Amino acid sequence: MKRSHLALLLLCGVMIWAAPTRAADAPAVQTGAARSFALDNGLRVVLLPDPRSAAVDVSVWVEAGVRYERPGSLGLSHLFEHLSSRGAAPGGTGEVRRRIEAEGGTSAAYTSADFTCFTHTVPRSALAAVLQLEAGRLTLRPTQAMLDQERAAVRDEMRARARANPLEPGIQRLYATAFPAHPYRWPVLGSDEDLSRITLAACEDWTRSRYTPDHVLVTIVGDFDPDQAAQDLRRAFGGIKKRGESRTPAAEPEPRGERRAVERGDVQVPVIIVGWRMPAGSAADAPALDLISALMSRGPTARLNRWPGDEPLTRFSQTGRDGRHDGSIFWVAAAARSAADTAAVEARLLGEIEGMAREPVGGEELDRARRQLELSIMFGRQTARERGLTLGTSQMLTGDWHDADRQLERLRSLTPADLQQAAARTFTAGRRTVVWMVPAVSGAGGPGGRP
Amino acid sequence: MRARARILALLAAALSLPAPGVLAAPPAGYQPPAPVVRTLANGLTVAVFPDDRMPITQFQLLVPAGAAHEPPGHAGVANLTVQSLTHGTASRTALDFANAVDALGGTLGTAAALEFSTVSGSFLAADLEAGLELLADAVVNPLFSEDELPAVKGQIGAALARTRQMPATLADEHLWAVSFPGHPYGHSPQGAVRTLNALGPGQVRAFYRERYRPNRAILAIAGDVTPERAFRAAEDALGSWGGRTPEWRAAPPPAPAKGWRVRIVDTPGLGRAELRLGTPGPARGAQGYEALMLAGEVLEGLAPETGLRSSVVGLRDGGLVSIATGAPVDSVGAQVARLRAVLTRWAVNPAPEGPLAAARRRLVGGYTLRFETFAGQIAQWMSSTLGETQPDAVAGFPRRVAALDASDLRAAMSRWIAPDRMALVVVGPADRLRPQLESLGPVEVVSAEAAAEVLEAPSTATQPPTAEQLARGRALTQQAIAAHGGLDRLRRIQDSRLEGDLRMSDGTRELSGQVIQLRKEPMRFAFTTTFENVRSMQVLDGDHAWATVEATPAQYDDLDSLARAGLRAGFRSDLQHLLVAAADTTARVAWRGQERVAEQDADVVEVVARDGDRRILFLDPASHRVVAMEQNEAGHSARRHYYDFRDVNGVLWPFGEDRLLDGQRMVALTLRNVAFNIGLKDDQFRKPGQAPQEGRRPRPR
Repeated sequence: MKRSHLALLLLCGVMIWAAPTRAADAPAVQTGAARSFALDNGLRVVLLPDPRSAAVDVSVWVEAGVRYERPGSLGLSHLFEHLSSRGAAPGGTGEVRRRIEAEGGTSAAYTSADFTCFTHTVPRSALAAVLQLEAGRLTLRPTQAMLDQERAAVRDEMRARARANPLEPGIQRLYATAFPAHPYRWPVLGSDEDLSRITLAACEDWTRSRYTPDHVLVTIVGDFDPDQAAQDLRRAFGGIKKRGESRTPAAEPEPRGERRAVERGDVQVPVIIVGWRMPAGSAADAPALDLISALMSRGPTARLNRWPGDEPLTRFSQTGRDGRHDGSIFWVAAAARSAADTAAVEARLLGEIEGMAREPVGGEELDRARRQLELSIMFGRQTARERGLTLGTSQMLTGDWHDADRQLERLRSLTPADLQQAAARTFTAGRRTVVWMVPAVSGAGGPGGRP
Repeated sequence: MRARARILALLAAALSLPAPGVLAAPPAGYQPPAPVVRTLANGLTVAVFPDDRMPITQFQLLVPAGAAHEPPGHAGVANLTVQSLTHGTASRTALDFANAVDALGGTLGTAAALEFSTVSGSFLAADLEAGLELLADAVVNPLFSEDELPAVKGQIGAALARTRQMPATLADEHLWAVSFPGHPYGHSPQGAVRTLNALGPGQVRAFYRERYRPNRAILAIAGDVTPERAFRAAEDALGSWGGRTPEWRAAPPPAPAKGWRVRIVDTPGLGRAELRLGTPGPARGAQGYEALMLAGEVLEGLAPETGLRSSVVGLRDGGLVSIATGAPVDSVGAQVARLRAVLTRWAVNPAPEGPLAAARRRLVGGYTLRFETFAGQIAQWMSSTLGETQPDAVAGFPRRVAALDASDLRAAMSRWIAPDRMALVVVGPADRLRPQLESLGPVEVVSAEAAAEVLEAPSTATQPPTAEQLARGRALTQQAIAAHGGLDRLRRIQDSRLEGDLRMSDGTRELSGQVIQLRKEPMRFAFTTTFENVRSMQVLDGDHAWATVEATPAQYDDLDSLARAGLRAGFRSDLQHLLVAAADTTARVAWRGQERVAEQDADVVEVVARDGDRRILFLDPASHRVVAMEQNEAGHSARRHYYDFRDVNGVLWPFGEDRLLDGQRMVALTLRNVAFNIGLKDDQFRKPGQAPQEGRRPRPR
């Protein structure tokens, strides 16, 4: 159960960052004080000073994710995240982290389908030093020893994730089925086979083509002097020449008709994962879908958590929106109770969610969900790092860091009719992909007698 | 999930942050937020941290009602009390309360620590008054109803079970227990399953009455609210809260004895061991406290290859200095040797100039990050107020750290750190660890399931019984046997058939099925269950045991010795065999006192059979019926609660039975038919002639 929840949280991780919202009477990320510019070499910068912050966060965003990968070297983005975290400073393995910690700061890095992010929160006095360290990432020369070491570390991570998240194969199947043409069909961590094939030359090519200023965004948020920071940025990054290439992934045609799949795996009961691909150009619907998600599964009185008069058919249900650059998905996942009729589980979930297009939501229910979502978003933006990640994710996914605040304003003004219209655009059978994960040892055939 | 994470973060911050004055210095230019503070007429201290950057508010009420304040034998009552606050008040049921919080979109959480318990809320700033009203309802008007306690205990039991899976947390808890034996600071904030089971509403209410009073409580409110509004809201919600909590001071912690005390927390199968080395340290704000913090930072830089982390935690009347690291199980001995060497070097020279400067920079740099969230700000300030330290404890820390020099560190080290008087806790497999650690001193091995502080309840007593206890045990047993029909009737049962419904739960899902138990003397036992139309059967036939799952073609598997032993224990675990065994004159039967079980007081009778098999019977003092039985194995508390007694051929038999594992109900058995002496044949227990078909894979066990 716990592992299942973890899986769902992983699934909705990007959604959280990509669900920008703000209360009406105060800007949640204070974009009014932000400024953005680009260096001559194409490096983009967003600065958001906040003198009341206790620290400053520097995040470096690189256009490097499965979106840019090719078969044969799947997982290169993630492997390179490891490589550059270990080797971006002259001191070698772990030097970046050691230097950040020596200032009392903290570091993290992660790879999504669309980008790789490196983030450091430090006292104000350490800002210039962090920028110098990060510039080293763009001129990294990996060695064979580093590659071998990090390849082993990535394999360990893949094994650990597989153990911790039994739903991962089902999530992968959902994307593979929903995006048959686009690179989103591949797993972000790649495959073990491809990991073995990645050569030092491929890594060097990745540095040249992706870790180049014109594919990089730097966000700085918190307690710092913006003029001084701009100077420090130019000093650290200004001398690096752009050398990137443009890669446009294969376009994914609009879906036409429901897709279904069954995945066998390490689950004790059948688990259903349904995704609806949002229509192209429907990014403005994101706040409405986030609100629908809160209505469905946030809190004890959410719709999918209520089973009036009946024995619950599911052990848990969760919903969310996974926002990506080239195509977002609204998803619902639920684990059926052992004795439950899986067809009834599926009917209930689809009925609740697709029914949003038909019935307007009541004012009290809408108000509760809106409060929950606003609180979650605002409490999730207390630290400089959280605000930096909000801005950067907006920029990387929508091309506009202002989008975070615009969507928050939209959330506050949504009416029941807005939710119905967004639901009608997204929750159609033609946009739906249904994956059932079933215990590996169960009999033949899919749940509910369906393939 | 998110709210819980925030609450945990707040708690963690409050627990682990060294407290006021202990923290690193803020860099020049940064000023930690200072609250506006007022004391209400009832003595409640209210602190407000205005911050209008986002229209949200977070508040936390701290009451001095922690595990350290628990009376002897009531371990876990602090946690049970605070967790019960939101499970029913004078005006709201538990469900009403949860719905009221949900309607506001906010969260309200509770947590227990060593020195205090907290109730924390997160709401939109516009809902401050409504949120505080909910907090006040929970804190001022809780019911602690008997109906709700089992649910709360279940939640705590599940949390304890999760803790057992977390080696680092286990290691920390055990280090406190080993460093503070018999002292309130050795208590576990979570409590322990055994004593938790024995707690009832009476103990919870008594603890609440004693500790939940406004005069030593603190309410902090942060967010987009003005001080005037916050004080007014606090007064409206909590101004009528009355009573006084008396001053409480812990006795001075015991001085560590010469030599190393070594405890292995046995967790078979763990590949990487967790190590903790520690010794009692100064109270927060006491002389040498900040110097030890800085010395700890130096230590981390002295031995980077060990990956060690230092920590200095200060409480009001004492503290703990600890070193944490990990190592592959078979390298623990070498890692301990490295730690000893670095510890000795450090004690002699705790502050070489280069490492001292780097440590000061790291400590000061990390300081500001603790103030990034409302939770962090509140935790810093509350720990300062709890310690009653100097007014500039938080803001003045940088200056004080900057002023510390090598001689200050040496003085603190010589006062508090004696490398030859340390406690060592290692979490890992005992069989591989013990040979590596025995040269250090006496090695104590406890199971991962044991509470950090090894507590003795009547049902867990291990000391030899007195003659009086033996006599009373026999007398009580005879009364119980009589109450259930008498020894003759019980002995005349030569076979039995029990049939009923079974409901299993692992805390997250439930499974319903049917069960049939057949017993025949001697040692024949068939246990049949049916779940989702699949029938499975395990059978003991004297020295032989086998199993089958209904399938086509039929397949019968022999069971190994472990499964045979389990079936033998199952055969002897029904009420008839329990009572007959207790009547055996070769068994040791002793009264161990009274304990609360299944929400009632019960006499605890220990029965140790000739072969060493130990079971505990819980007897109702009035009716003398057996209301519960416990048999602990591999560190787990396995209990059965009996109810719905009915007469079957003159024998009083429980038709209802709950089976609990470590306090969590796992199985509920409801019998439909019970029959004795029905003429069961030996053939019914014999494995059918069909052997497993050649070439088929054996069924996994």
